[in-house]
Amino acid sequence: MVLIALWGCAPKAPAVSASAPLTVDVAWVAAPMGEVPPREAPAALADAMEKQLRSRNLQPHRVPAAEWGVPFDARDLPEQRAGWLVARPGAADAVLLADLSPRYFGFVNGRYRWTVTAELWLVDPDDPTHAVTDRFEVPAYLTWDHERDDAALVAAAPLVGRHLDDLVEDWLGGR
Amino acid sequence: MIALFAAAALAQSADVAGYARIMTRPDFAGGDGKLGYWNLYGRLLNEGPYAAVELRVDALEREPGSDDVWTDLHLRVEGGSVTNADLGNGALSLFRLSQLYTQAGNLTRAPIVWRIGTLESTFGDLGLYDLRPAQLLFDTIGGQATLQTRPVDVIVGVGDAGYALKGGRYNTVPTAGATARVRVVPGHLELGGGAQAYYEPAVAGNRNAQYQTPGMTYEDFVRGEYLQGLAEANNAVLGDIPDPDARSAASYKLVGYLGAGGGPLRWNNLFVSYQRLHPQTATVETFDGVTADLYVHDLTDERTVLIVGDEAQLRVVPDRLDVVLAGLLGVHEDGDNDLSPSDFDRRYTSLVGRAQLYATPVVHLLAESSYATETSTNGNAYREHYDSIFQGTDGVQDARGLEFGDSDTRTTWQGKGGVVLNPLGPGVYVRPSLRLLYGAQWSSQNNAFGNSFVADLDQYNTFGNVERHWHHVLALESEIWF
Repeated sequence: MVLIALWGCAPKAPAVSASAPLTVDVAWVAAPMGEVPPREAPAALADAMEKQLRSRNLQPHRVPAAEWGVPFDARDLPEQRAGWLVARPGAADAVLLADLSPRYFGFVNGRYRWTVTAELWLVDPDDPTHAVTDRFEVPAYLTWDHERDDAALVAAAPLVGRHLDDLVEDWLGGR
Repeated sequence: MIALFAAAALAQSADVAGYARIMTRPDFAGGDGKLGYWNLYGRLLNEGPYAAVELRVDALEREPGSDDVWTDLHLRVEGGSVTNADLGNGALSLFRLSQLYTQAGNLTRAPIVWRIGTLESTFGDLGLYDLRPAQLLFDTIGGQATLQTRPVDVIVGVGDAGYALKGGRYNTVPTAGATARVRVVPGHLELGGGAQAYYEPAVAGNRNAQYQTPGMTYEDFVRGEYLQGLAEANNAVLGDIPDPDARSAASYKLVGYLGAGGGPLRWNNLFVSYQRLHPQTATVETFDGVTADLYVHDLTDERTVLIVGDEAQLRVVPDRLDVVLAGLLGVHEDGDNDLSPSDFDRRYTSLVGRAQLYATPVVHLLAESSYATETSTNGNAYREHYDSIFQGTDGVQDARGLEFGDSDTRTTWQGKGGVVLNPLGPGVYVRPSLRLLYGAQWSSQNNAFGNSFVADLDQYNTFGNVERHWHHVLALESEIWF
């Protein structure tokens, strides 16, 4: 038991980072079920994700909702939204789209269970074939009824962040 | 079952959720691994293993920003037993299909979700107790409409609660209930309330309907001596049992809710519920070779339960220390019973506090303490000493007495503490949690925990009796919502 505990103190393998700082245009999109158009995801989630990006030597530049174009207006696919980000003039070294859709599942054993469906796109605007994407669902459990879509997204942040880490590693590995 | 659900989830648009807890608590004091009798002392270390799996299948998928019609099916299986973890040994007979319902939305322009199947409306949970006092419609099979807007939620349900209230003695019990939640200051102040009413009509000829057996007293009922008394009154072998008189029955539940939060107070839930319980249908007696159903509507139609519960979660030092405080008051009254102690004639109060210190985002230290008193309002109900069977009220032995033990009050203190590993980070209710805990209990009742002791004072009791008011357990456990 002691040996196992000591083993656990050994440093983890270093995370893959960009060899030189890269700028990333990022859109954090929240698309709750009953809302049109989508809006920016809560700052707590965006801040946590951007902190992760910085740890990979990626410099995020948030694209605010006010600048979002037509594909963000209605029920367009995340792929179309990512394409719009890539096609923006003066795009950064990379563009990242996080399209997040929270949906209430039900009251499960005393907690409010939400499902967050997420789709992440990380694309090199100079070479759009150098793109990685990940679509997944993660659970978010909330304690109180008044916590709704935004709280579900914040609660899901650790799990979304795990996927984002993998996505960034895949993308950096392909450069 | 999980594999079946997972296969269904892969086959079409579906989602699987659930909850599980499992623990080992070797108990060198001869207990069954729980620190005390029930979660009045805080649910931590007082509950056993549990598993629930819920499947949601989208028959018509719901899409963000769409006003297309959608419909889904929910199906939940749950139960309190796991192989090698409890007496049930994980038997599937201890699990049940507890929820099955279909929902549909966007059927009209109004933001209403329609639901048919098992119903539910709740204002939330007292997490430290794992109790939901302000819950309605949970016993009903029927239809429910949920109107959800930013300032107000309204839920209306109608259906039948006969199986939930009467089980094997099923008789239709039509019921209707409604709740409303108003967000007075969104995110900071909410008010809510609701009511549910039940009515069981008299159905002459249906042996599962409500009746009253003539001439039966509460003492007959509680002693199970109605048939014997009838035979003695007739001064002969048991003659004809009087025909029961048909009755209709009504009951109800009222709930109230106040939620508030802001600043270091993350949220405070205050729940109130007042319920007039539905009357019991019948009791079974056997005397002199005759077994009969005896109907007890008039003897069980004055039972009420008042519960007040409050829980506050405080962020004392952000990302370092959270505290949760909770209290519970219960008043159970039975207007028909002036004779014997029972669960329908008691009062209890409880306070629980938990502090969770985040040494790192993943490694936490937990400390919890609780203090509770339970009082029987109809005489003694608890044994404070192993030989207390010889004492009644005023110390007088009464072989025909209906009291039990030597005290009408049980006082319980519990303290718990240990290390918690939360892979998903800080938060008192963030799961999964892997916990190594120690718990101690002091109770005024002798051996106040589930055990296998021989409690009688028979001279041939070869195991002897034990006087013990302290109880200790060490627990290794995990809990997850997924």
